[in-house]
Amino acid sequence: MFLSLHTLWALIQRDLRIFLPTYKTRIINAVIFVIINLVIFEKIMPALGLAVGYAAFTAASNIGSWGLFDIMENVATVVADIEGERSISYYLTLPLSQTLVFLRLALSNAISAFLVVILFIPISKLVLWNTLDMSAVSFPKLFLIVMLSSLFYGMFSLSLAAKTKKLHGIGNIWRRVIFPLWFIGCYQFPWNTLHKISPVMAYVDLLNPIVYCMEGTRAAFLGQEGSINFWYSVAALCVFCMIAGYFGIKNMKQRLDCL
Amino acid sequence: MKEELKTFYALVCRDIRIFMPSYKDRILNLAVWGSIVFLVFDKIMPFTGISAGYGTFLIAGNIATLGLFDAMESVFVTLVDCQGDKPISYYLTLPVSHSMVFLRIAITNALKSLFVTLSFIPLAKLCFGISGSFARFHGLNLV
Repeated sequence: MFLSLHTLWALIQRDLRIFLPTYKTRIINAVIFVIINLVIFEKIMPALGLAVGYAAFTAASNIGSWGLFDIMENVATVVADIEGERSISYYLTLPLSQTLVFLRLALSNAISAFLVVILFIPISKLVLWNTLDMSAVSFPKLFLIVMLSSLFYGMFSLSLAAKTKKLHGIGNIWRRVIFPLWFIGCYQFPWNTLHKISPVMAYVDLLNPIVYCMEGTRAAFLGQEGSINFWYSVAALCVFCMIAGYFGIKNMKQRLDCL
Repeated sequence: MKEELKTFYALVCRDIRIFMPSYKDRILNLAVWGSIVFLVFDKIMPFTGISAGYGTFLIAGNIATLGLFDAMESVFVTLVDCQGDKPISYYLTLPVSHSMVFLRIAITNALKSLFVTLSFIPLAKLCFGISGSFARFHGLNLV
């Protein structure tokens, strides 16, 4: 058991060592995304009638959803490896269980996403400055929800990678899975608003895990008012992490013909 | 020159033949995409203060940007080809100039995007109809 965990830790450290040289590039990507997004919602969209202060709402949504966009890259990397060199077969010969080999993929992706998304807080403050009231931010809650969201995105990447047969199908992942989950996952609107328009749709939307990433992040970043209770979001995300992790690992084992 | 163009045309036809079986999938993706954008921006976002009719405005914007999202898939596939089996090396041995080999990738992707975008127009028309701004829809100009 100790050897297994030691090997897992060594593999995650190796993944992070590969990730870190790309960190600067990822920060630049994050800065571009946040600045363009927030400037549009702060300066342009209010001219179309959008409520003033919506940019702060978007800043919280960005923090909750950034890891979701990394899923495409994570899935493409795993599928390209399976279709090509199959370097994953080497990891399956190491002294750790197959479950831990696949869990490592999810954990490495989660840590990578966390390290980038955490920078969204200072970037958003710099862009919005006076519009963003930092006194409402609960940092312990924010770290907790960002960690859980990143973990969910890591587990979810694994589930999708196990189900993606060919790299040519990668566009389907974006259009059929990530985009619908993101767009109806309360990125643009609070769950309460949806509940006012259509309670049935709002309750169905509770099956969408992204709702909890968004609502939980907003509760921690902007204050509890108007969002689903923070601890409900935390509990739901824990359940979704377990479900995505279970099916991801099970399907990867099947796909790679593990004994 | 004639042989070069003939080979180029054959390669583009081959790419389109490979693309066609996934056409149904792509139309389904578009239906999902368009419906969700329309639902969120035409039915939900007005409650946050945004102008009515913003949904159709976005649908029109989507028509112009659909190809942009396909570009991501094309980049992935080209990169994997270059890093893996390098099937592109085979195309470079064919009786076409290197420029034409690379141009073929761009032309094929452009044609794929065109086919997909054209099939989005009926859905866009439907959205314009639902939101009552059908009179502003000009199909011929759009094509």
